[in-house]
Amino acid sequence: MASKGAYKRLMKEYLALQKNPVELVDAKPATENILEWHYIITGPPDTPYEGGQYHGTLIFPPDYPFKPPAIRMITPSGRFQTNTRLCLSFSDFHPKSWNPSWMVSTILVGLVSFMTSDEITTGGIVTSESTRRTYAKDTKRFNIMDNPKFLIMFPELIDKNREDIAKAAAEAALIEPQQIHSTPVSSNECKKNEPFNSKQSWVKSRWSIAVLVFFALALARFFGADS
Amino acid sequence: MNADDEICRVCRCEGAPDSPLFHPCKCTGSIRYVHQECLVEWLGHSKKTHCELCKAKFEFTKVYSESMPRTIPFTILCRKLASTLKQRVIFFTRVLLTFFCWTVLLPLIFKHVWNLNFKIGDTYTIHARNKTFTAPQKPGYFESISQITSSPRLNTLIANTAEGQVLTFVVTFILITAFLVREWVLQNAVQVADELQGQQFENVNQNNQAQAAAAAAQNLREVREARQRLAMVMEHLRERQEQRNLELQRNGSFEEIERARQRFALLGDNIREPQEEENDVDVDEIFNRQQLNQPALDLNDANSSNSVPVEFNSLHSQNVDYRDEVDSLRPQFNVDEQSSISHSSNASENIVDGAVTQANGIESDFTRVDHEPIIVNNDDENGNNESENEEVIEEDNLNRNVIAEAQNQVVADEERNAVARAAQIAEADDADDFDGILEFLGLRGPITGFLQNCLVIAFVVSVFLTTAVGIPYMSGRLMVEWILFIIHRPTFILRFILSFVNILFDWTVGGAFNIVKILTKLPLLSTVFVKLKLQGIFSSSFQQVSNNMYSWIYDHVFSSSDHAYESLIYYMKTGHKQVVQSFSIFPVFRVCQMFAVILKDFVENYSNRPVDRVFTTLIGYCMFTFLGISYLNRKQFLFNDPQIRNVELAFREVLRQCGSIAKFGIIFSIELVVFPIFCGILLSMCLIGTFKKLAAENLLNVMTVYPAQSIFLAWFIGITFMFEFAVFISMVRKIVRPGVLYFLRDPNDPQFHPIREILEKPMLFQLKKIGFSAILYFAFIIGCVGSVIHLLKSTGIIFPIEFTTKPAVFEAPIDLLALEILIFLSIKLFKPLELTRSFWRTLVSTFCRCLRLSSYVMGQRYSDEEGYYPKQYFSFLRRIISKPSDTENQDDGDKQKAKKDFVQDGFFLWCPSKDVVPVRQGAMLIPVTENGYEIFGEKKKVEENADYTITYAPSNFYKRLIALLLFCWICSTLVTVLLVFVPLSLGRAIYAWCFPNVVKHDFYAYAIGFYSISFPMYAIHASVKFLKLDYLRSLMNKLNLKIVMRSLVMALKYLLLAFLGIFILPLLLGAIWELYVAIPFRTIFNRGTLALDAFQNWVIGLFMLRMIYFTVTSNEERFVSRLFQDAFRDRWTNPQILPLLKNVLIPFTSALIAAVVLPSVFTYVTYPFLSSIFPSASKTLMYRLMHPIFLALLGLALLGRRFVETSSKWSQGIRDDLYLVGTRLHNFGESAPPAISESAEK
Repeated sequence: MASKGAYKRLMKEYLALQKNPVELVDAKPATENILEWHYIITGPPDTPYEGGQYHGTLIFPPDYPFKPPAIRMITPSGRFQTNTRLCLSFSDFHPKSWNPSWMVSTILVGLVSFMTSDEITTGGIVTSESTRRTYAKDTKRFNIMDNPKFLIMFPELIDKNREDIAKAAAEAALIEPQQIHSTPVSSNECKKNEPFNSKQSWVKSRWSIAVLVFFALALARFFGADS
Repeated sequence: MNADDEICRVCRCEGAPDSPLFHPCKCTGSIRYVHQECLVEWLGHSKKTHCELCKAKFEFTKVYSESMPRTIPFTILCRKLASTLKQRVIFFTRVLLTFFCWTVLLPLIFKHVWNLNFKIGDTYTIHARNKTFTAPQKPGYFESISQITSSPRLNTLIANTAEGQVLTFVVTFILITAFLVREWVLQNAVQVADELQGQQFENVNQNNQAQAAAAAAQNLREVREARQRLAMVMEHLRERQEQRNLELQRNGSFEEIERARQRFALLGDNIREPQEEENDVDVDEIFNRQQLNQPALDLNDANSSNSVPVEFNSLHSQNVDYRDEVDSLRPQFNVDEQSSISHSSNASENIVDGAVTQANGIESDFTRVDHEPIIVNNDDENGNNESENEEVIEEDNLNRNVIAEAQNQVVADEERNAVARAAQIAEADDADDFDGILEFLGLRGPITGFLQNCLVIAFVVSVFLTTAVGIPYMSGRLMVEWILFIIHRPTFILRFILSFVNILFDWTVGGAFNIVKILTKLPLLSTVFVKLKLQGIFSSSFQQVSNNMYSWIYDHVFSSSDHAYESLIYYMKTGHKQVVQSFSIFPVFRVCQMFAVILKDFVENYSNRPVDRVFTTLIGYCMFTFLGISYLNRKQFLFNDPQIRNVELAFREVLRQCGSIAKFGIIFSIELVVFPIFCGILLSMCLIGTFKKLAAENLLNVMTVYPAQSIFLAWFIGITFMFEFAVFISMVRKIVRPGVLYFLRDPNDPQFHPIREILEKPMLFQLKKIGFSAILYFAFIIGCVGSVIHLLKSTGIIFPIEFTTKPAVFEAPIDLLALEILIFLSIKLFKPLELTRSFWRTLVSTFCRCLRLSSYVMGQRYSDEEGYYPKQYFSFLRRIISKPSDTENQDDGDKQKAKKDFVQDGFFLWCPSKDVVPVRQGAMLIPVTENGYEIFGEKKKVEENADYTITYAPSNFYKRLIALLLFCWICSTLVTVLLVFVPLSLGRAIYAWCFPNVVKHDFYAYAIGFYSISFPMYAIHASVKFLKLDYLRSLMNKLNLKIVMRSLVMALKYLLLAFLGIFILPLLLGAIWELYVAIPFRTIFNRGTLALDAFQNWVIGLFMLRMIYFTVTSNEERFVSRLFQDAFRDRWTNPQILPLLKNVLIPFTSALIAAVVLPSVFTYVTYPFLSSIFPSASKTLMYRLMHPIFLALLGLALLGRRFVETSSKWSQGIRDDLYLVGTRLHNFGESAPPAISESAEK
């Protein structure tokens, strides 16, 4: 459980964040555990993450602010592995480079800046820009559909997300599809396998008959030799 | 600043009277203040004494208890001393123990594991050999170690340890390299998708684009159609549910995930069926499948159709919670029906509703969806795979700027943090690493942890050795033994097959025979047999029948062919020799024969020699590689169980990684090791005969006697050659127009990723490429270098070069002097790099003018090159002299006139204008007209492209190019030969004239010749240049007394500096070297001469002085180097040498003089006294030894001071331990703690 110092400091930080919100970033602690914070990063404009809504957690150690938190991102971004501890200079991979004057807002701003860079790190993945854009478009849907923690932590965003998705869907519907009929569609693979399987079984049975006959003949040979 | 903002940087609280805020470092802004307690706690965590951001040291004042005595009691001192000693002893033993473990115990274990692996492998011997190789008792490579002591057992132990250490080192090196390479490869490689992953999850065949397209496809027109299909699906679903409800009632164990899955799959099948009935293969179908197979993760739902997600939700919620199946489905189904009529946005709201319920479902029943993460991971991987087709995006600086701005707005201090971050991480990592290393080595932390580490490492390395060496060796051994077995007995296989056939025949036909025989005994059938007259055959046993058959066949087939067979054998034997003789005139055949002999030798002697072991292990590796590749190429799973399939996928991934690492390793080692060695051997073959002792036999001899050294030498020569070649190419790149060398990769090209290229291109292609460059290099070395050397050799003028290394030719170290002055000077004066570049530039441009290739090679257009004068045969000479004319200036009368005879010819080339243009086969140089229409083929206009340009090309373009290369080569060769020949012959003459009796040494001769030519030439060149200067002329005009005086002073200053720097200081330094090091050494060991040679002294001193000068001025921030800079700041005309003299030169010189003179003076003064103490010592001995004695005394004095410092520090430490009550923090820049504490007390 959180030490008194950590509790005090995190409370102060929460109040400060509410008083002076930081651009692109929103964060709050879980109700039952003040050491577990949930953040939402809005994908910065003019990046592949534009329009994305990235939810993740900061797990603070009990002796925060003397040790750095563990940083995870739950929403798939194409930049980080989901729900994996990230190796950053201000995450718990590098306790020695931590500085107690850093706080939640600085961490998150740092995370945004790291996210938009292409530096490779533990927990990071390399994908193409278009993949990242695709992920970014999917983030809001992901958060309300496949991310239960998000629903608990940010219930106020659910309706907004829903609206945004609807808007995006409407926009997408307006785009005249061009590639529908040319897209390669895999034909049924199950059926492809079936004749092969039946043939195999047939071959198997043939072989077993041959072996049986062979053994029968060999038996006859030895019985005959006896007689 | 607001008072509210004054908060502690650690706890974010305000200051209080009893815990005031301090500002202990340079940091300002929101992190200015800190509580003392918070800071102390943080410093306890971080183990630092300074601020991480501003690097300012935190100052504390120590507060001691009032009971502290003025001097520490003696007993306490003793106790402390004893405890310190105890700690030291414990630490020392621990160091010894760890040292023993790491350097003796573990290597021994590894060595034994290593031996064991080979011994196990050696037991797989199938056929007995007449010769068995017994390993030499003492290991070959450690002969010097193996005879250290007299006891042989100890010797083997020591040798084993040493071998084990080498082994450990190699294994560690390999492991670390493999790990690093893996990281590197994984980060660089865009991973190749495993096709089986696609099989595992059927829907992955559609890549992301297809998904996106599918998403876009759901437009309003198709909604209705989709609805109809969906209705059908729902119909099916409802049926299924009813069935399942019955099932559920029957067996209530619906909690099982596996069962749920099966049902789900069943459900999926049912949905698929109706859709497949419709032949219209639509995007919906893809969606259905995706969502069925990957319910948790579908990327494109958010912006995708309105219809399908509804269905998906309903399905998913079933998956999540079976109990509410019916209830959850029906409402949604209704919703769906409504939404089919309504607008799309309404529909998507419904989706979201569904999603919320579904999410709740997940939450309430979270354990049930536990099997999902597997799918999630795989999907991530697919995401990675998709990036294959696209380039990884370059860093977007704009984005960074945006972020940086945001950062600025948020926290002002953050900027500084960001700057300091990198250094900080490095620093912190260093400290972290160091602690970790200490703990790993066992010098810190619990001793059990260390032992555990040792055990783990022993285990890991043993496993590694077994898997990396043992298993390949064993399997390779088995393989080789079998092959050898067959080779030794060629008929074995035949006999084996024949015996097998025999048994088969015996059993089947014999069985049939017996059955028939039984049948003949049946009453009814016997008559039939009698009638058919087959009774006789079946009356005897099968054995007899078959024997009869054999003899019949043998009589009729083999006896007649016996003769033919023998004659055939005879012809083969006699013909063989003739064939060998007739073929042996071909060198290829002889090489093959040589290899055959080697192979035969190997086969006959194969046992457990080191060579055999290496070979066997390689065979094993080849086998495993083959197996791995064929497994990876197999497009099917070996197993059907999904769990095992996942394991299989992981295994394949590991194999794939191994494969890419191996590929990388192979290509890398070929390019960086094998290829240079190849070049080096070629070069050394070219150099045969250039030195007296460098004959072909000698070379071979050296290579066989010292294989490792000569291979290293070859590698070194080769890599130097390749490096020089690369430098040359880059120089050529600067000379010619960009785009000419498009076929050679520019290493400076930012788009060039060598590692990625290695990983991406297929192995065979790369090997081909390397082979091609090997041929090129071969041709280049043999043709361009070897031929020239051979020609020169045949003239007999220059070669062989004579030189000796053994006896020094001169007493004085001329080599050192040459190194010191001449090379340095010549590099500074001649600038060989620029000289070479300008030489090549002139060469290339001249020949291009001659051959009318300037436009192609150098760029631009030259009108006078775009044609020829039919009646002039030496027009190229005129082109060399005349300046290249541009196309524009042609209105001169003369030129108009000349133009009449001028016949234009040639064509234009559409060619790359940049070196980084990707190479396309057969489309790089396209002949076009001036306007850019293709001359051949379809005659269409070439596309506009910034990477390409149009240049002029004369007729016979390619021949001209070849001629250009040829001329350049001949010219440069001539120049090189002249550069060698002229100075060498001159130098040889001078050398022979100056030192008639000294051993010939061509290096000296060359140096003498070179400098005797080059320096006069440079002097003439420089003086000509100097005399041209206007400055000098104006000075001559304004000559008066003042200027004369000033220049006199300047000259005097320079003279003084030169006198000091060139004579005094080197002489003094040399003398110090002699007096303090050389002479005492020689006196004590009774070696060499004792005379002081002024010249030699001076040379050594000069060398030392230069070294001192370089070390002192290397750091520009240092006081001395700044003085040197200041002295010559006002250009070289007015040096300010006074501060330099005062601060550096005079103290330094006087110290040197004192060091030289003082001991001698001391000896002179105290000689009567000293001689009375040491009557046996002679006067010269005293003089000689006095200098080192002085040095030793000085050292002792320094040591004493150090001791006093340490002991005072130590007693301070004791004081701190015993009597320290607390500390008080200082504010930054203040020397004492603030007086707040007292005010607080009040």
